[in-house]
Amino acid sequence: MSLALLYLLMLKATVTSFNGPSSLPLLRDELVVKHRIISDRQLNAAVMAGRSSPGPMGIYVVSVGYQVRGASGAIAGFLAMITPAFLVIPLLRYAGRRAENPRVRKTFEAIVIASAGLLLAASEPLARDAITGMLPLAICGTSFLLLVLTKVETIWVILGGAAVGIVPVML
Amino acid sequence: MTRAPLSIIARIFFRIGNVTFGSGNLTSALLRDELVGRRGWMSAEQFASSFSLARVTPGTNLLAFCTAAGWFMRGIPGALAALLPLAAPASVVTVLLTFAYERWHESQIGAGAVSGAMAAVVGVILAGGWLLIRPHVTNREWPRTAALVLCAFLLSLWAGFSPLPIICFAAIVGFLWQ
Repeated sequence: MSLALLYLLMLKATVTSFNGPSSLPLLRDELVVKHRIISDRQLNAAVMAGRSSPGPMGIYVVSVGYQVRGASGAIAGFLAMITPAFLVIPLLRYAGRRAENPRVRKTFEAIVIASAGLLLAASEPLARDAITGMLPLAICGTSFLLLVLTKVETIWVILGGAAVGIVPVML
Repeated sequence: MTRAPLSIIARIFFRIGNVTFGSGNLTSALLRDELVGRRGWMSAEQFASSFSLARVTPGTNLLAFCTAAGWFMRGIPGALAALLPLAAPASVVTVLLTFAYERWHESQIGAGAVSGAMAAVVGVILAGGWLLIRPHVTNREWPRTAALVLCAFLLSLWAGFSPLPIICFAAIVGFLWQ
């Protein structure tokens, strides 16, 4: 796959999502389902790398690019990640007042809410790959509760999961 | 307001953006403290515009916020000075982590660690979905929220629709069902 096409496919996912993780369903649809250039496992690894590193959640796209085409793919992913950010400038200039309109705000909220449903749907194949027994299920449940109920940072949750995952191997 | 030097904008966004993990809101709050509170390079209104319009800009909210804040301070050069130092180092770390995964996932211990981490990531994604809808599960809003989440989930998983038409459908529902 050419770098330009890779960039455009990833851009299609990032420019149609309204927050970092919600580009995941479309990215999966394009790269795993339609073009079959990465697997669900690789996508899961990219999400893991993205959530373990500093910065915004949408950064996992850089890892996806890296897995497809090495360093140049990572650069394509980086560019796909930052390109939509520049759309804020014309928004600041021309749409500032309209964005405060309650109906417009509610429309955008609905998109964000629906993105949560899409995120859940996209996590299903990742879950089928990762949740293979009671221990992974317990790790998954604990991670969910830690993030929702406490202020523990994502990085520690993932490292904790990794540490618990080593235990059966050591025993 | 004083004119912000590009190099110091870059240093601030590099410092604050690369010690917070995943939480765009936390990073934005720390940047507000620095840019509005301590240095007076942005007004509170400019911060609020940047923050709220970033939430309706496509893509990662935090990156759009950086672009907006930098643009307010020093136009396009300011936008680049804010965006790149925050996004680039974190991207390098992401690639290194991916590289480490590829090298070590075949050893037994590496495989165990990666399995545990991946199970944790599924929990993280589910938590991300919950955090997106949590502000909208009030008494008044929960039926609409539940309907949108369920429809999007079923249309995607069972009906096999790709995300873009589902998002357009959600926009129409959101516009009509206030």
